[in-house]
Amino acid sequence: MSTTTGVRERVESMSRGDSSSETMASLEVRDLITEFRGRRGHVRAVNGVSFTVPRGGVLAVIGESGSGKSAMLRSIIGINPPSTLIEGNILLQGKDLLKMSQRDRRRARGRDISMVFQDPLTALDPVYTVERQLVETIKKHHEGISNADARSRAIGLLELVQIPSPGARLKAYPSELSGGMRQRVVIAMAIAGRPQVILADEPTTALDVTVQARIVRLFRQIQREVDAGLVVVTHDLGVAAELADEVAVMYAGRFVEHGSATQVLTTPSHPYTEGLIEANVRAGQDRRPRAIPGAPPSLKRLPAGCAFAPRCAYAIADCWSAPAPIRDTATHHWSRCLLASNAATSS
Amino acid sequence: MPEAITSVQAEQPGENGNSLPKRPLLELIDISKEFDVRDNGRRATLSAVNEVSLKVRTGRTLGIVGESGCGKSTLARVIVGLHAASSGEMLFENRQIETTGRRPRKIVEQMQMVFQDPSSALNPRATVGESIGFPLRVQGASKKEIDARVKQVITDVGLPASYVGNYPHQLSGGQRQRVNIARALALQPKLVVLDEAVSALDKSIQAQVLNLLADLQRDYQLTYVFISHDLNVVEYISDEVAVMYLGQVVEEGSAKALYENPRHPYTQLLLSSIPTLDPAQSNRDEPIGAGDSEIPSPISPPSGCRFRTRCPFVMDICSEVLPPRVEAAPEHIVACHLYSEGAERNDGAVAAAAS
Ligand SMILES: Nc1ncnc2c1ncn2[C@@H]1O[C@H](COP(=O)(O)OP(=O)(O)OP(=O)(O)O)[C@@H](O)[C@H]1O
Ligand SMILES: Nc1ncnc2c1ncn2[C@@H]1O[C@H](COP(=O)(O)OP(=O)(O)OP(=O)(O)O)[C@@H](O)[C@H]1O
Ligand code: SF4
Ligand code: SF4
Ligand SMILES: [Mg+2]
Ligand SMILES: [Mg+2]
Repeated sequence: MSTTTGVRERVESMSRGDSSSETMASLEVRDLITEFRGRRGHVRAVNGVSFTVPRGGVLAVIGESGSGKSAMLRSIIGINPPSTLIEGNILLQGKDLLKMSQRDRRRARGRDISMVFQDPLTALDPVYTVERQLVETIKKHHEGISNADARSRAIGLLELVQIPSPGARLKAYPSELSGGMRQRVVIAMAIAGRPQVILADEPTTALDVTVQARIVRLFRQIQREVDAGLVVVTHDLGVAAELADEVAVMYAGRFVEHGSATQVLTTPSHPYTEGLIEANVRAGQDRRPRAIPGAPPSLKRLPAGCAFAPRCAYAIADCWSAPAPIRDTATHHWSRCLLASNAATSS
Repeated sequence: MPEAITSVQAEQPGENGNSLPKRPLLELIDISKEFDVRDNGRRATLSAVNEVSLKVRTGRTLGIVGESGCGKSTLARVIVGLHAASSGEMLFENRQIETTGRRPRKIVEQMQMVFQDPSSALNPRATVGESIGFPLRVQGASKKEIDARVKQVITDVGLPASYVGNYPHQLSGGQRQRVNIARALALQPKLVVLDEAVSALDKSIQAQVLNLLADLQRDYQLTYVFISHDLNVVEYISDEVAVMYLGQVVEEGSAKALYENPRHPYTQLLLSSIPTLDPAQSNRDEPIGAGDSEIPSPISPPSGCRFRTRCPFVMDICSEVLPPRVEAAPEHIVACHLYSEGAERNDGAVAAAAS
């Protein structure tokens, strides 16, 4: 396909977050830590995550439920509860969001960086119509736009996200829409300001496969138009395969594997990734799906060694003593596993 | 319509009375649900569910698939009594139940639902333990019983027991979804309607929950209505599958028959769009527009066959006549003119043939 060379180049710069200045990074995250502090202990939801998304690049983050994927995106967009500790650097076109004033950060939100939230119902206000919420968002990004223009833009956005009879749907309240329509309204709001970086938290879970394919292409189209970077969190490995250049796998607050979508999904090099792909129900499957045995560790007290060791079929004694190091397994493909080897380079 | 009801009643007494529990636990007869909406200022009717007739057999799973907005959640809410049906009838354990008003608590408790939006279903001020325990308390269970049951179901869905004290905002999306599943199962209902219940879970937890559902079904003869956009999961978990398009069931049959030999053009389109795990097969950079005919709206659905605006096989008759339900193969019903052989195969004949 015609895109492959471009993708390859981008991949080279994305993996491991080498933010070389030649390829403009649209988003660069360095050693991000997110800790929810509470009376009953601190929950370290994100525990040192680094990655770079170049302009026009797509990173899909897959992984365990409760491993910190949403917390990571919320930290980047800047909407965590007040008692949350956030450390590290979040560079948006070179500027550190964590060092900006609250005011500048608010201004950047929606215009430079936007987010599609995991739960569309909480992202929409139940007492206002879709029209009111969309028009408000559009007005925020286009100062001085007339009501009529904002309204026709709103209709255009709903058309773009494939909502039938958009004119009629403007008057609907969120509760009057189906789950998938709400999800698409939230996507419409996120792309309204044509931001440089879009964070999407499971944007397609409520969509059927035909609409899903269109939304995937829509994301790509918008990205191409404004050369935006996209970080998409998904449990749907098919969507990750369809949409992403790169895939990162998250477990207990950390990326445990990162590489091109093809590498990670077809030749996983971390036992957790392998288990995740293995658990996926395939077409025509009769046998019971195989869950990874055991439960994830408590984020209040992470084990000293590899966080996956208690559940890992390959664990050896060394796995329990110190955190697993990052091992390159192929060019721009790494795994946080003691046993991962550089098999691919020998070929 | 009256015809359909008589045929259903005639069929009831143990006709297929083999040892297997084939008796329907739930039966929907011509269920419709309409909403009053505004279309550019004018009042209009939105036909969300249109004359849906389905049977869900005891101890079995009926999967429902279909396009976003085709009426799956609305149908689910009508089943559990959260929406009043506009018309139609429902039988639960062979007894007619209320479709438009309040139901006796006993019936309500026997049907539980896991909602598509997990946060809307949880009280933000209640802890996980309180949320799951609440319906048990209403039932009059003792504190000890409640605690034990809560702990049991919460570990069943793969959450640490220590989460009972957490509030919904302290949970991840998938954790919240599991609390909802746990709550629905805690009451040991007969029927559980699962609306996108496993789609917010990672694949490993999803496997665990699917296995739990299968075990509960085997041990307690639980009956499921399973709504999902994950077509592979629906195929795996379902005995029967119904495909909906714009409020109507366009095809139904055993999961195996339907997936191996989809008859309705919409089902064929749907099944051919399942993404693979191979990035090389992605068509993500194809422009939208070409080949993507517009999805029609339930506010003014197309006449005749509602799929005709997108159907590659559309014929003249399709815009004029609503395609009848035809038994294209044993227990495999399809509503499409491609399969209706002449006028004598009307609704009544098909219903009779199906029983
Ligand atoms: N406000 C909070 N206080 C305490 N713990 C929290 C809070 N918010 C989230 N958590 C915990 O932090 C962890 C990470 O949550 P997060 O929502 O990021 O998970 P996730 O990876 O998005 O999971 P999912 O795939 O289920 O959505 C979870 O274990 C969750 O219980
Ligand atoms: N309370 C309501 N008032 C008006 N219209 C409604 C209401 N609830 C649902 N609808 C409409 O009914 C149709 C069916 O919605 P429903 O939520 O049942 O779809 P669905 O099949 O569950 O879709 P999804 O897969 O996106 O969840 C949609 O067009 C929706 O907008
Ligand atoms: S480091 Fe050891 S325990 Fe951890 S994933 Fe690798 S083999 Fe398993
Ligand atoms: S009835 Fe006609 S339009 Fe409808 S699915 Fe069949 S062939 Fe296509
Ligand atoms: Mg999440
Ligand atoms: Mg729904």
